[in-house]
Amino acid sequence: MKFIALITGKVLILFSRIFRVGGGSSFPGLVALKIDPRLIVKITRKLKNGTIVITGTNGKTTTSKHLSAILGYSGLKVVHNRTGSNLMRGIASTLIEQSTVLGRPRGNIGLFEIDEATMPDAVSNLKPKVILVTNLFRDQLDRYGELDRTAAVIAKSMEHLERATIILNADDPLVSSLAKKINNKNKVKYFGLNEDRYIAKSRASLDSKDCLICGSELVFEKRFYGHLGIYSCPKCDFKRPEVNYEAKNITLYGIKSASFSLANKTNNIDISLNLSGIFNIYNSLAAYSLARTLGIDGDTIKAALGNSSAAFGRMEKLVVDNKEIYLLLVKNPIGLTQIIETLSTDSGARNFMLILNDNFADGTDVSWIWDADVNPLNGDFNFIYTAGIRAQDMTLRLKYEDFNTSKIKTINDIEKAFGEAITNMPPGETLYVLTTYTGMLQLRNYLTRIGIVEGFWRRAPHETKSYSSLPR
Amino acid sequence: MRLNLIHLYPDEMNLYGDYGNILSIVKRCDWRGIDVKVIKVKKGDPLDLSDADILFMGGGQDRSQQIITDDLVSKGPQIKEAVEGGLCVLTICGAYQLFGHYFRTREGEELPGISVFDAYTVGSDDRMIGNVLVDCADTLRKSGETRLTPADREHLELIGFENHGGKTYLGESVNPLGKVVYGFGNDGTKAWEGCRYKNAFGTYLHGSLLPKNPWFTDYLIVLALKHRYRKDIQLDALDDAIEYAAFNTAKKRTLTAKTTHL
Repeated sequence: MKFIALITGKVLILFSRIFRVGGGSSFPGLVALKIDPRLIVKITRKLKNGTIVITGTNGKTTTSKHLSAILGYSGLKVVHNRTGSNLMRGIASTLIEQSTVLGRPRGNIGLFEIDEATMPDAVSNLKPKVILVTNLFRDQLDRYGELDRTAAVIAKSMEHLERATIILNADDPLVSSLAKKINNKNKVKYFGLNEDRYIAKSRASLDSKDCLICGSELVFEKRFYGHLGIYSCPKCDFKRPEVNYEAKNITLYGIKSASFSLANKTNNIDISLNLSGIFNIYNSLAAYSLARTLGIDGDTIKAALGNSSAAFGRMEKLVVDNKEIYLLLVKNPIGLTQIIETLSTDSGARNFMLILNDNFADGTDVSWIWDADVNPLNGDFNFIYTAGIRAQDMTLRLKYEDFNTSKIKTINDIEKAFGEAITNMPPGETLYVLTTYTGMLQLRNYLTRIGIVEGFWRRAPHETKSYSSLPR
Repeated sequence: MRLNLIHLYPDEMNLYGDYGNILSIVKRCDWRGIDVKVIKVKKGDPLDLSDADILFMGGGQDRSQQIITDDLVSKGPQIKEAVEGGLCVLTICGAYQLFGHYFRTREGEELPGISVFDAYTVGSDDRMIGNVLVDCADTLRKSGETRLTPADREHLELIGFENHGGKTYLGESVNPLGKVVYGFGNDGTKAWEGCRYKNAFGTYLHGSLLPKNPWFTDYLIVLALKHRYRKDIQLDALDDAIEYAAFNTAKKRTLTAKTTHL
């Protein structure tokens, strides 16, 4: 009866696939963990090269995707929760799916992206040998509590960790300050940008402005976006640490591509990326830092990143009726600000659709749209469709930045709004759809139904996120 | 006409779209040719309320509240005096709590408030999160409010989103802002929301509060104009179709209160 949890899980995955419910990303894991709470420990300890954990607010999924590709190129076989199902039950489902009925993983290294609030459970179960923290931004507060709490939860998750390497974003003061709380049985490394051209103009999402040590207001020599930048405290010795890995010589080409160099102390590789935006430079740099820490050579990293594409829905290109569509996932103020800022570098971007839902996975509080800087979108736009459950809130947001509201159409029904947008778009132009999570799922489901995109239940099934209450 | 708006602790106390509240006041004045100057007062900056018309302070995380408490307490007497003189004040969430007598955290630590409101707040294990609908008709009538336009009187409801662990209890000398139609309210008993003393308001509602509740924004503007010019000033009507479309969508969402777990 040793494998009953595993076999039950496998049967449930099979059923959910056959009946096309949920894609099997969460529920089977949930049930299997009920039967055997140590299932995750039992399977992951058989991974020969250990496990890697990526956490933080933004960039987990894209960074994981990059790293998974790099590990693949280097000949490793990766067990990866690529569905974006990053709570414990999602991890369990991944492991159930990717192991034999005898509980042997079909791979030799584990790669897990983990929700910040799930870190304590995840770290104690997975015993990772490398942890990377991407950044900490204000996400939907109704789900995660407040930012300081999130940092405290991550710090606490690493309390009993030994012989691990913790890679931190040096440019994020909230993340780099975690170093003070990491015990000396572990090694700490940093990554950050070396950049003078792309300096943030927007003051939006300056989420962490005060020194985490003494409370004084940090002085920013420059900011790359939000509160990421080169900073120091005027009163104590807290400052942006020296980095082990950096990105430099950055050029962005609209929202579609970018070029830059990634470097450690001794080596330098030039990268052409099919993604753009400073946030995507960070994602590549994070994957590079992890790969270097694991001893993977520059050529392998370069080859893998050169062929990379966006993670599910983060930035995805589709063609409908010979018209180009980009799907862009937005989930918090900084994400929306960054995408809009990157879009504004391309004067050809003139047709937009903004989908705002307030379901659980989107965050039920829509006030975050007021914290985003939407102004750069207010240029020579052709039209903006607002859609989704709270479309009217988005229209209102735009009105208060003096957008020409006669060029904005508010249609809650996503399918209808999308259909109109496509019909009204001049030939040869591109529609940019910025959407929250469940809006993305709805739109993708619709596009699948009408035969535009392949069924994506295999890649990105939906999941019900549980509310993780953080004490106040 | 012109107004001076003091934005207190714009860096530390700025959560849940507080920018939308400032923007709403500024734009609705701007559209009527009223010039609003926003003066940011940060921790450690001197506060001059002698020429101020509206004071706004937003929500903040626990740590932010701790960082500004001493500074706020030092400014307390000045703010109290100005409120007695009719200064229009809007405080949201964390600021609302600190404008009461004190905020006692769950751990038992007591953050002193500035007692503008006869109210106190106690931290709890509950987290009160969700959409809120508040009816202000009775409370406004009780306070003898006559300055609202007929159009505004059709509304008198506030829609917003609350997210707090602290439970606020009101004393004798303050009135609630309104009656809870849907949501947790001040203390989780679903009875009353917010607080009013003279022209000072405290509330847990963000969302942002003001953009979707334009009648309330206008009411604050009217109070501020009265404070500056010592007379009742009627505001020009604006086309609020987009505002009330957002209000109605949120209200419907709140009352049907079904969140699809996609």
